[in-house]
Amino acid sequence: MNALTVACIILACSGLVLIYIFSPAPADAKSSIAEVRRSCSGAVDLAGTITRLSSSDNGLIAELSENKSKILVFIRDFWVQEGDNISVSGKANKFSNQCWVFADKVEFR
Amino acid sequence: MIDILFCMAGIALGLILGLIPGLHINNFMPAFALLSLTNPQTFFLVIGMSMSFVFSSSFPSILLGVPNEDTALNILPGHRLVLEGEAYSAIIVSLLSGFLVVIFTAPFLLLFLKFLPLFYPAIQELVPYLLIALLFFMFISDKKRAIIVIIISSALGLLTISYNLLLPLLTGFFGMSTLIFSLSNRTEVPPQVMRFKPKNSLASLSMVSFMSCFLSSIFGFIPAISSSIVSIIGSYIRKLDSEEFLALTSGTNVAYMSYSFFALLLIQKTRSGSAVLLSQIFEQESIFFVLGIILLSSAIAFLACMRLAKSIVRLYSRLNYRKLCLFSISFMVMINFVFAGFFGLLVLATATSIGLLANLLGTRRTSCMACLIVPTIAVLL
Repeated sequence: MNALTVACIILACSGLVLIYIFSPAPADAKSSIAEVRRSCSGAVDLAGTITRLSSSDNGLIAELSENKSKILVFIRDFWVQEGDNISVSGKANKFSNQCWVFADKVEFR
Repeated sequence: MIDILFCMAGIALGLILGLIPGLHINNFMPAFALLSLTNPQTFFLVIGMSMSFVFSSSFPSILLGVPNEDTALNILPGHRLVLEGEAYSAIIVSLLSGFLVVIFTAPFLLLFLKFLPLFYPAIQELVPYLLIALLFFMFISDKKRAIIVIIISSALGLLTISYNLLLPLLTGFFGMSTLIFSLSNRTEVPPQVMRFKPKNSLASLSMVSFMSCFLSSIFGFIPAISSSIVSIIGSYIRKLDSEEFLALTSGTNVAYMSYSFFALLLIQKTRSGSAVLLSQIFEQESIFFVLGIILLSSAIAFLACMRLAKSIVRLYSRLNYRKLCLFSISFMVMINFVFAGFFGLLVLATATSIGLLANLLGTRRTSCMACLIVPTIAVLL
């Protein structure tokens, strides 16, 4: 192996290290429940498992929780059950000291 | 009649975009979603543009060594043929194999209609094991030191799997490294022969085109399996020279584009940017309507590219090769920066050093494809 080859190996490995360090967060990353609860405003994109479910006149209210953080997701026109793993896009708002997400789009994961 | 005009407009646009080095139609698809057209008009425009794009995009990859996401593997045999003064034949072989694939597509479609929904789940299950076997075969059929390239490429692939960075990856492995190597070796380009003088018979090229059509029909519907991976599989099935390998990669690109529309209609899966756009307006259009547009636009694009080939190669042969290499390298850096930013440039630099490493170690550059194969295995398993 000549010096140029070794230099190329070092260059490639240094590139890998830099890529590992400077990797941006993936664009499609979902926010965690704790993050959504902290800001609780504007458009959000999150994923989680339904820990409790109740129904109201206008739709379902799903509770998603993670490490003591809890949010309530208001779902219309979509049928879910407790234990379902879902991803939700919608708008978050604080109401009665709770963080509510009004879902625009719900998908099973 | 007006629909045919949309088809023509799409073909013209696809031809122009394909001739611009490094560009991919996927970068422009969101703009087409904003147009308010009827369904048939959109189908004519998008399919016309996509099919002519796959034909014309072989020009910059073969002549300048500047690929887009699909044509990266064209560079290796293309550049070799350019250095032998066979640029014109290389382009004609590429176009011809693409056109043969379109002809073979029609009978394959009848097979898809009957068997695809039945076999799709089984094929999907088998693919990761087949890719593991391919990776193993890539290693044992090359020099032992190829393992260095395979490991570093795999690491790069795994680190960048979450980002859409195919352009800097493939440009680095196959485009930049080839041109830097040519520049450092002071490669001279001989005068180009302006006659179509293929080394292989038409029957042999047809056989390779049929193989690319067949392999694409198996893997073209599976998520995460790119046309480049299929070309690599093909190159291990049959020993191919530069011309045949070029025919295989070009044919596979055309087959992949055609099948992406069939996949949308038959199993509602999107396998290309064009299919994603059509999936938003898709209303049970007939598959034979789509096949008709594919055949029409491919025939027109093929004839247009055949007509353009001589003048483009003539223009190319008048240019200074060293300056052309420097221009191509600068252009690749610029395009990668525009589409992938600083992080893309970092990936480009790393992929280029891996491509150069493969050259210096004397191993096959296709070992770099481990960067796509290993993450694909990780996703599918």
